[in-house]
Amino acid sequence: MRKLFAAALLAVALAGCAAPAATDSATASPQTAATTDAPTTSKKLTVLTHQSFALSDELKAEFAKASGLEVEYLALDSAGALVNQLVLTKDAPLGDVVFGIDNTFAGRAIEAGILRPHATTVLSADTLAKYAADDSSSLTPVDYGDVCLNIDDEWFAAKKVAPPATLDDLVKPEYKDLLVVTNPATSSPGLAFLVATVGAKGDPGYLDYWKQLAANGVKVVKGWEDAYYTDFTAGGGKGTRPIVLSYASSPMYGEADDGTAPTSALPKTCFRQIEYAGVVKGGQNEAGAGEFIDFLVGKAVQSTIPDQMYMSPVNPEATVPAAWEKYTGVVTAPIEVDAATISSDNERWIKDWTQVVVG
Amino acid sequence: MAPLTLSLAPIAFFAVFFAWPVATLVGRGFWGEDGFTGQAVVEVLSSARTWRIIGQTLGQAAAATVLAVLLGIPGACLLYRRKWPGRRLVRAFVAVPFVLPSVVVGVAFRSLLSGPLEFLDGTFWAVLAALVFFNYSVVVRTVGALWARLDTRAQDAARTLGATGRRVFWTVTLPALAPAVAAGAALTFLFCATAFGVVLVLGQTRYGTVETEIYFQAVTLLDLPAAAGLSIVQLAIVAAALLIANRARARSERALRLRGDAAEQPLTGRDWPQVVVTAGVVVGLLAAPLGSLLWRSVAVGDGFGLGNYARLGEAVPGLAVTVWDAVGNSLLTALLATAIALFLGAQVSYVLSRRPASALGRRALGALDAAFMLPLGVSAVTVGFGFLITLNRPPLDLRTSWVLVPIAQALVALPLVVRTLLPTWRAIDPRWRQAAATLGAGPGRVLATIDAPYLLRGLGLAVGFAFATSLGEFGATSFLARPDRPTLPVVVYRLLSRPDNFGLAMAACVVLTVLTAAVMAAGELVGPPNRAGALS
Amino acid sequence: MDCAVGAVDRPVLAVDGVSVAYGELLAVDGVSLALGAGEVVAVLGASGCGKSSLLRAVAGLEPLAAGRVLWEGEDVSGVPAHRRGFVMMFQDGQLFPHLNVAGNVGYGLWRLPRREREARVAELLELVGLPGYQRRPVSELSGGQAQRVALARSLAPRPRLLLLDEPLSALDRRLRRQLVGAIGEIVRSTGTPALYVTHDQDEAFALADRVGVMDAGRLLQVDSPQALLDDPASPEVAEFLS
Repeated sequence: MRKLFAAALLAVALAGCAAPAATDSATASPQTAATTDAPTTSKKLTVLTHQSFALSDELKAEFAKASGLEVEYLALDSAGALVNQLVLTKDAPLGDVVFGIDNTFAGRAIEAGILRPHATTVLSADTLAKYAADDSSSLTPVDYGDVCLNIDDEWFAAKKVAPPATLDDLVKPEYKDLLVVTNPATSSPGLAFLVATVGAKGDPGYLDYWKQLAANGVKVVKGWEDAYYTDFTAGGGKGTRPIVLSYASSPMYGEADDGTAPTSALPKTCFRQIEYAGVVKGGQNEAGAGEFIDFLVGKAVQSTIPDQMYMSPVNPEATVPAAWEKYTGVVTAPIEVDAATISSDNERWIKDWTQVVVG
Repeated sequence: MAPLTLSLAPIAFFAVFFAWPVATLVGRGFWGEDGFTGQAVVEVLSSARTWRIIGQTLGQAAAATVLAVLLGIPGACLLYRRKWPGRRLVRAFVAVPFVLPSVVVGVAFRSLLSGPLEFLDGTFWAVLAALVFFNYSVVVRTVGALWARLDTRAQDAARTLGATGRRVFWTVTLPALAPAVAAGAALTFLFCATAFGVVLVLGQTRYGTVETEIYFQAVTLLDLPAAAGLSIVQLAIVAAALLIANRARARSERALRLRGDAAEQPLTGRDWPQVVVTAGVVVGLLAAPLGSLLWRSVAVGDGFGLGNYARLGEAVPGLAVTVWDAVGNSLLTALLATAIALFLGAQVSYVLSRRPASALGRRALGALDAAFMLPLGVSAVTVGFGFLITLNRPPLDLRTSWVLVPIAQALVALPLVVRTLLPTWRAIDPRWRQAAATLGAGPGRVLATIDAPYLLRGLGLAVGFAFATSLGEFGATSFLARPDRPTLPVVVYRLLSRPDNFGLAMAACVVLTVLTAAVMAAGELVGPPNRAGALS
Repeated sequence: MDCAVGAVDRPVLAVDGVSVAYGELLAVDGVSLALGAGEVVAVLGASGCGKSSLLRAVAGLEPLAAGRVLWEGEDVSGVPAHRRGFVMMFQDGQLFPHLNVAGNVGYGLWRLPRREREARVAELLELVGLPGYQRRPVSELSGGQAQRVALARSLAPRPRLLLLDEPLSALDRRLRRQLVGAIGEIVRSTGTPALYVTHDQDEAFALADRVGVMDAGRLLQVDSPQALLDDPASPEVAEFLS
C-alpha cells in the first residue's frame, strides 16, 4: 500500500512538473499578451472544449503535422460551465483556444474580456456576418444546430389529431398534456427554447405565453436525454408525450429503410444555436490558437461536423451527407435574438421563467 | 506523538485538495473583484426562493430518512442477524445503489416511471423513492453492524421475565439499537440533504435541494456570491447532521456491551414480517429500476437482442474511446483513487480510533472526524470550481492533469473508507497492544503484528466501498478539466446526450452496475465469515 | 513509609515515590516499594485502590505524575514499555485472537531463529502443562488454559521482571486454587522477580514472599504474610486483613 501511494505521489509530482508552461508565463506577466499586439507563440497548444467536442484522429494528426504543434485536447463541462470556468481562470488560463461557447453564452464571454480577437480569413465576410456574435471577431462561428420542437407523426396519425405547427398551436386545448421541454436552468436546448419564446413573443410577452403553456400541461424535465428517451412517445421508452424539444436533425436518426421518418421537426419553432471558437487571452500560444480556429472552419473539419458533433457546418464549402441536408434544410427562418440581448437578459429570463412555471 | 504524525499526511491532503479550494471559492463569493460583496450574500439569504429551497431540502431529507429507517430496521435484522444462504450477496447488492452514479440512477428511475407509474413522475414521491433507493443500505449497514454484535443476554433475561417477542423488541432490542439508528439516520439525512443529480432529474423543476440551487447559481448564472451564501447554509446543515451522528455514535460506544463476533440466529417462520418488507424493498425499490435499465439495454427495435452489448467495443462517432476503453480508464483511475483513499483513510481511522485522555484531545479528534466527513456534504461544483482557482500555480498546477481525477474521487471515497475501517480499529482491544509492548514490541512492530492483521479483516469492505465509489463518481469528475480519457460514467453521460446511442448508453449503464455490484460483493465476501460490515 | 522500602538490601526494582494521576484524580499517591532478586511481591487491595495503576506505571504503560522507577539503580522512568524488559500479564482477553497458541507464546521471541523459537515455545508449553498445544486457535482454549498460555507467553522472552495484574480473578475458585500454586512454582522455577496484583488475600499469601497492602492510592504496609497478620502497622491494615 505504501508503495502504491509512493507511486501516486510520484505521479502527482511528475504531473506537476509536466504541466504546461502556459501557467508560468501567465503568472509572470498575465497582461503582456493583452497589452502588446504580437500574439504569444509556443510549440505547444492546449485546446479547451466542452464535452461534446469530437474530431477524428486523422484530422488531429493532420493539424499537428501541418502546424508543427504538440496539441493537447482538454474537455471541460457543458457550454455554460465552460464560459464560467474560463472566467474563473482568467488570471492563469487553462489553455490557448476554446471551442464550444454558444450564442446563449457568447455575450457573457465577450463581455468578461477572456478572449483575444482573431479575424479568420477562411470564412467569407457573408458567412461571418450571418453567424457572428458581434463585430469584435472575439468569437469565430464554427457550427450551428437548430433547436426545434419535434413531433411523433405516427402518434398524431393514429389519434387522428392534426399535428401542431407553431408556438401558438401549443396552447390550444387539443394539445393539452402533449408537450415536454427541458429546464432552461439546467439544459442548453431548454435555454435555447426559452430564448425562442422571447424572440417570438417579446419581453415580457413570453411570460404570458409560458403561463398559457403551463396551464396547458407542459412538462419540464431536466435534460434533453430525459425528455427524448423517457417522455417522448417515439424515443424508445414508454413515454406519453408526442411533442418534444429536440433538434431539427433528430428525425434523421429514426429514418426507416424507405427514407421516411416517424417523427418530424416543426420548422416554425426553431432557435438557432451557434457554437463558436475563440483565442484565450493570456494563453501561451495565441498564434497557434488562431491557426487552430482557421483549421476548425476549414473545409476538411467542417465536412465531418454532422457525423462527429451532430451540428451543421457554418462553412458553405463543406460537403454534408444528403440525409443531413434533407432534414436540417427545412429550417429556413429560425427565430432570432441577438447575442448581446441574450447575454444581458438571460439570467432575468431564467429567474422569471422559474417564478412563473415552477412557482 | 504517533497519532499526530500519522494524521499529518491526511491533513495535508485534505487541506490542499479540499479545504483550500472550497474556502477560496466561498471567499471569492464574499470578496469579488470589486471588493466586499457580502451584500449579495445577504440578498440571496433573505430571498423567499432560497428559504423555500432550504425548507424543501430539509423536508425531503427528513421524510426520506424516516422512510429509510422504517424500511431499514427489518432489513438490518434479516441481513445481519439471521443466518440464511445468500445473505452476504444480498448485503452486497443493497449497497450497490449507494455507489451508483446519479446519472445512471436518474435514467433508471425515469424509465421505471414512464408508462403505468407516470403519475408519480416529477412528484415528491419520486424524489423520496430515489433518496431511499440510495440510502437504504446506509441504515441497514449501520444498524445491522451493531445488531449483529448485540449481546443477547438482556433479551434472554426479558424473555424469562415473561415478555413476548414483540415486547422484547420494543423494550430491550430497539432501545439498545437506538444509537445506531440515530447514527444511520443522521448519515442518511446528510446524504439526502446534499443529494444532487437524482433530485435534479426526478424533482424536475419543482423539487430541489440547496445543492441543486448551488449548481444553478454557480454554473448557469455564475453568481458566486449567491453560491457562496448557499454553500455556507449547506455547511451548516451538514455540520448539524454530523454533530448528531457523532453524539449518537459516542453514546453507542459507551453504553453497549458488544460481542467480538457476530451472532446469527437461524431464520424462522416468525421472521415473516422482516422477510416481506425486505423482499419488497429489494425487489420493488432496488431491483426494479436496475431491471428497467437492463430491459432497455436489450430492447432492440421491436424485439430484444444483445446488439447494444456487441457495440461496446466499437468506436462511436464523436467519442474518442469505446465503452470498453472507458471501462479500462475507469478501473485505472479507481485503482489509483482507492490506493490514495486507503492510504489516507487507514491513518485517519487509526488516529480517530484512539481515545485521548484529555478533553482537548477528544475535542480535536471530534473536529478531525467531522472534517473528513465534509467532502460527502460539500457540492462538487464548489470543489471543482475551487480547484480551478487554487491549484493554478506551480508546483501544484494540477488543473489540467489527469491525476486530479483520482484525487477528486479519493476525496469522495475517503469518508467511507474512514467510516468502514473505524469499527475495525476500535475492535482491537488496547490490552493486546499493551501486552505486545511489554513483550518487547515497539510501536512499529505492534502496528505490523497486532493492528495490521486486524485491519486486513475490515479492508475488503473498505476497498469495495472506495473502488465502487470511485468507479461511479461523476459529480466532481465532470467539473474537472481533463485530457480526453473519459471514465465510464462520463461516457454514459455523453452517450445519453447524443441522438442515436441510447441503447448503447443503457448497455454501458448495465456494465457499470455489474462492475459496481461485483466489486461490492468481492469486498463483502473477503474476510472472516462472521464479520459484520459496518458503516459506523 | 520507610518500613516499606527497608526490607530489601540490594533491590533489583525500586519504585520511588510514584504517583499516577487521571486528570484531577490521584490513583497512585507517592508509593515506594522494592523487589529483591527472584522475589515475588504481591500488592493486595480492594478494586479501585490504585494497585493496577501502580503496576501499569511500573510497566511503562502509564505516565508518572511524580516519582521514579529504578532497575538495578538505574532510572527507567523515561524508557518506553517495550524496552524495559518488564512483561505484563492481564486478567483476561489478552491473547492475540489472530494468532494460534504457538504464535502467542512465541510473540516476544521474534529475534530468535525459527528453530530456537520453536524449541523455546515447546519448553514453555511443557512448563505450564500444555504440551503439544502449539497449533490450537486461542478461541478454543478454556479460561484456565488461556491464562496458562498467557503465562507461558510472558515468561518466554525471559523478562527481567514479571508483572501480573489479577491473572486469576476471571477464573472460578477451584481453578484459581489449582493455578495459584502452579504460577508460584513456575515463576520461582525461572527465578524471575514478580510483582503480583490481586484483591484476593489467600492468593497473595499463598504466592508471595512479601505482601503490600494498598488503599486509596497509598501503600499502607509491606511485609511477610506472617508479619502482616501478627503486627499490622495501622488499624486500616488490620481491618483489611481481618
